[in-house]
Amino acid sequence: MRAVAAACLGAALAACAAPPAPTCDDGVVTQALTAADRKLVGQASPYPADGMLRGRDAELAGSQQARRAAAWAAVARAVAPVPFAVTPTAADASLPRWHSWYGKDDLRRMFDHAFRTLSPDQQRARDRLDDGLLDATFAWNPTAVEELPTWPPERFAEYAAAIDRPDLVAGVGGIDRVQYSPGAARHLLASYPDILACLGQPAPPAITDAPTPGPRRMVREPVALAACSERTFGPYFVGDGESLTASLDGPGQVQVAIGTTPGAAAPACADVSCTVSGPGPVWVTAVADSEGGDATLTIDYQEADPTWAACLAGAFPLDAVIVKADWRRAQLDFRLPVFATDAAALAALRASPERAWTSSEEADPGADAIYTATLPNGNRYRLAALHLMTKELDHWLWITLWWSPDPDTDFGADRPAAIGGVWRNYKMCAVTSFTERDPDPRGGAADPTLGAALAAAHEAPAWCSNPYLEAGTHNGTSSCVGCHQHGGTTVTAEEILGDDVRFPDTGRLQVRNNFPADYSFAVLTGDGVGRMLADEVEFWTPP
Amino acid sequence: MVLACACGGGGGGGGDTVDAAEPDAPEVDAAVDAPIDAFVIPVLRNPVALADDVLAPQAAALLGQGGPMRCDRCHALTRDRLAGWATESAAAVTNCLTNTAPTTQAEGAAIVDCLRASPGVASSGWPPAHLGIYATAGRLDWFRYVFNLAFGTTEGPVQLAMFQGEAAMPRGDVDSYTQPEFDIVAEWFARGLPMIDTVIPADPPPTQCTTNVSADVATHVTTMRTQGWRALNADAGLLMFGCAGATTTRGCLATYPDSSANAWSTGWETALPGEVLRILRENNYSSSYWTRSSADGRFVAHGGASAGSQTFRSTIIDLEGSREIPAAALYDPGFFPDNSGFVLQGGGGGAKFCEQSLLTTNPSMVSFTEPQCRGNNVVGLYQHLGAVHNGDYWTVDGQFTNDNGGHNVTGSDPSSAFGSTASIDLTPMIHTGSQFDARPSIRKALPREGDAVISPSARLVVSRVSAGGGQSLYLMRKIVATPNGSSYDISLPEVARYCVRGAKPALSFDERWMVFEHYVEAADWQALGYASATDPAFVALRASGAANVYVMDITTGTVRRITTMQPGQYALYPHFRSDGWIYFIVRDLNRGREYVVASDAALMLESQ
Repeated sequence: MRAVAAACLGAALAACAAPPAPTCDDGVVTQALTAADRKLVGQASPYPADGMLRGRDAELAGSQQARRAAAWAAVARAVAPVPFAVTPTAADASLPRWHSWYGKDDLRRMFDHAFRTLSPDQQRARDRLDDGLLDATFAWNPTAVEELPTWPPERFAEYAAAIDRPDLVAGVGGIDRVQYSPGAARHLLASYPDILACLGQPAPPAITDAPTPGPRRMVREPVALAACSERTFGPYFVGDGESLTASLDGPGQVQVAIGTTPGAAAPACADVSCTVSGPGPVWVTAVADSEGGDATLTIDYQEADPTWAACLAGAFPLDAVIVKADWRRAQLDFRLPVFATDAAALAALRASPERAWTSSEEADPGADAIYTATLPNGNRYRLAALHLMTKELDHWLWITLWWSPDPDTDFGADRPAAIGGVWRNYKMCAVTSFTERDPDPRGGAADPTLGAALAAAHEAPAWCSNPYLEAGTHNGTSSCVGCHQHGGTTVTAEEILGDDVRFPDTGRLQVRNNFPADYSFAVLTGDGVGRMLADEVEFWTPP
Repeated sequence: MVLACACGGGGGGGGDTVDAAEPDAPEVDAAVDAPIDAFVIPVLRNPVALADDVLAPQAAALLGQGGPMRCDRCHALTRDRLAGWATESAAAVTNCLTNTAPTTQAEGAAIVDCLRASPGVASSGWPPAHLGIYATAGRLDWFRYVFNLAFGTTEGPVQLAMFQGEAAMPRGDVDSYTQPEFDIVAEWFARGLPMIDTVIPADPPPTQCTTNVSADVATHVTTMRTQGWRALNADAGLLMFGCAGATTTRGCLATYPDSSANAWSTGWETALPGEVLRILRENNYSSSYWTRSSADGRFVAHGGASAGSQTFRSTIIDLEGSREIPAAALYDPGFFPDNSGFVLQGGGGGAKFCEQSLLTTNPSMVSFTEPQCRGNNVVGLYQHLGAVHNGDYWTVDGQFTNDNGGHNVTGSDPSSAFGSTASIDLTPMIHTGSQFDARPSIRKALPREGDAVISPSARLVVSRVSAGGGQSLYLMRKIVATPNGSSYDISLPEVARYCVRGAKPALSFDERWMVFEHYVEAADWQALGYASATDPAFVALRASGAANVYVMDITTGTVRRITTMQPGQYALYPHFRSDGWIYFIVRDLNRGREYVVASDAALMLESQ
């Protein structure tokens, strides 16, 4: 189901003919995977996070080259094709991993299912959804359609059979504005009591001397272990003063190695639950007993300096990714604006009083040149841009992609060959800190167009702005992390970008250490996940 | 609705229409002879010396007859309609516009107050029916002068804006009259509409009233079982109000009293044995025009409010907690079938759209300045909303007849006599990917059809047509929208006609049922079970007036009455929520109350 974004009739409301208002990831229109689509796709594919990346935080902040390489690697993980659970007619049907992830309708469906399993007393007490219940709920979700009387097996079979073209395959993924990796989705559902407690509360202080929260979840993953088999996870970076705890619920135990790869030396610990202390890379191996079977591996770690997220059950887990997609209609004479992001364009952008992205031409790219999704009703959309925020770093790795008709120059010049298909038509910038700590304005770029573009954007506050998603005055010189630090507050994009006293350098500088929703706008504003959860709870437990 | 689009209040009424208005300027403009720096009071209207045979066609053309759309954008330019406006105009002149050159604050205030719906009640607004054709002068200098005189130059413009938002005609994107244009029109009305039979053609209505349902209807209903909004919303797990803990849909709303719980509502359900009617709420205020509800049934909206306010003149009721949310609009609520948003009209700024999520945050009021809201001037009054699943939103508007009955004794359905130039505007709101972008309305000529409503799926449109001899038709058309360029080509092939008397209808979310109200008319004695038209009980019923709700299976045309109202009780504005429950209001003249009522009639009938 979609949410009308204030019907602007310009209806849903957003823009009309007026200049676009600044935005900070506050999209509201969603067209999600239906229950039938979810059965086709199956459970969303977990994001295979790089557990060592957080050990390179300083390096990434100080090197554009390293940062961009890490970001492209994350993009490769996010767009890697994942197969359907139920194969439709189209040959080799797959979705990019991020497009298999959960939208708000999935969250609502799963939360409704899980919350209704609680007893009335538990519901009124806002009891947490425990790990077992969440496991079962995520497993149930792809089967939800089978409980709907409107979807008998023959209808579902006809529906699957009709998906016979790549654009229709992509359409199964829907055109959700915001999608959540399994790790992120699970954390949001697990956090519902905390989120509800924050709704309607006064704005949290920007600076807080917060208590140290409990351990942060890295991984919780069901594993099927054959008798006497092993499966290794990691490595995960565990810093100085930090610890990691791994446990296996099932037929076997975990072996934890620190500093050396598994097998190179005796494990530091072998038991059903192990805790090791950093610093160093940690590998976790699930080892089946002589019978094997289904088990669940859980890995948590205790940070030395954790991010405070009072409106959640702690910070998001390592494999949390939240994407924001900018879909554009590809019919009815809609064309795609084209934005130059070369050095000259960026210099002009910075020099203009408005510092707003402007487009001087339009394009009409086909499905071979841009990721294109056709919905079952025939509506066709192009993916103009995509934000990815991954929790592989404590303050997130911020990546944004945008389509370009000239994709191999400037911000696309260093795209690795491993990223193929239509994704070769997207450029990218990334940021990991509030300030730009790379002393080389050209970011060590080998390609002259990339180096020049980076130099044109280089200044003390970090920069990374997507021309499609960062609309409005001053938004051309914003940065993802600067804007998102206010996630979970009621500060608006207009304030962030327009009030240079409260939010210096178009909001790019860090002005708070209290991140109530761990940098996510989706929880309390934007995607309205919090309101959705509240609506469910209030429905089942009316006053 | 009275406030509709163009030229003043509701139709009907014939009779003599001599306008007593005397022109307030001599034929030679007084300003010509005035001292050069002297202030000159603007004139309400200048006399026009044209002969009747010259004046009449010019005035008719300015109303829209044979020329660009003006009043006929919303109103049928029938002889009866114009006669009705002439009556209203004469009343305005006699009652309120005797002094067209006021010079004191008191004189200005007296005019402004006289034009109100309830003189002396500052929050009661200015219905166009109190101005007649003078509503078309609402944006001219005379009214600006009078409001400034009455309220001062600071408050005057504010009050004038509210007056214009409610009363000034024409509405929407139709050009207002210039002073010379108004002078011609007003002169014609003042003379009593001479030569009206020459310049306004007769509108002989269809003479056949035969129900004819094509196979397309059954096909459509079958498709909607799985692809209609009832199924889509159920698949998406839409939380239906009052259904927590219910094991069946008919078990919803069980915490509310049924109609047998009160003496004043006992017997309401007797028309359809087995039906349950539940009283969801009792309102202590009088609503205006129609009532509509959200797809989930939680929110009920209409014009009118319990607290006197010049701004917050409509109400959205949150049945969860039975809470009134005042809204800064006048009337014409609509809710999107996917439970995503709503619209209200009036009070300036055109149609006002908001995300429905705004309402679940327990707002104390809706000002339409919230970030979840936007306005536009594309969608006309009396609009109805539909939505293609995962696609575009659509609205329809066109000629209509005001339906605000039951405030006083009302003895017949709103007129279904629409003009031979009648048309509808279908407005696509294109889903761009991140928002909805209203495209220019697509106008389709539908002679003599009005009160058009669109089905929730945006695949059907139903209008009302007079069939002559006191009969009337619901005419159903399929909407075939084909992308072309930046918008759509539209064709509207007819798929059914139902010979049934009733007011503006509404379709169920599964699009099998149509529901409408029908005021008790003289010919209804037999259908209502009375012995004759002179049966004392029927005479008493007619004397106080009443209206009942009917539901029709659109695949067969079979109609069932689902209420039995007592004299002075009007069951009005029925519509569906997503799961098949019917909501309507009952306007009770006996108790001076209104009730929000729910019926499970369609749910019961579908199980038979």
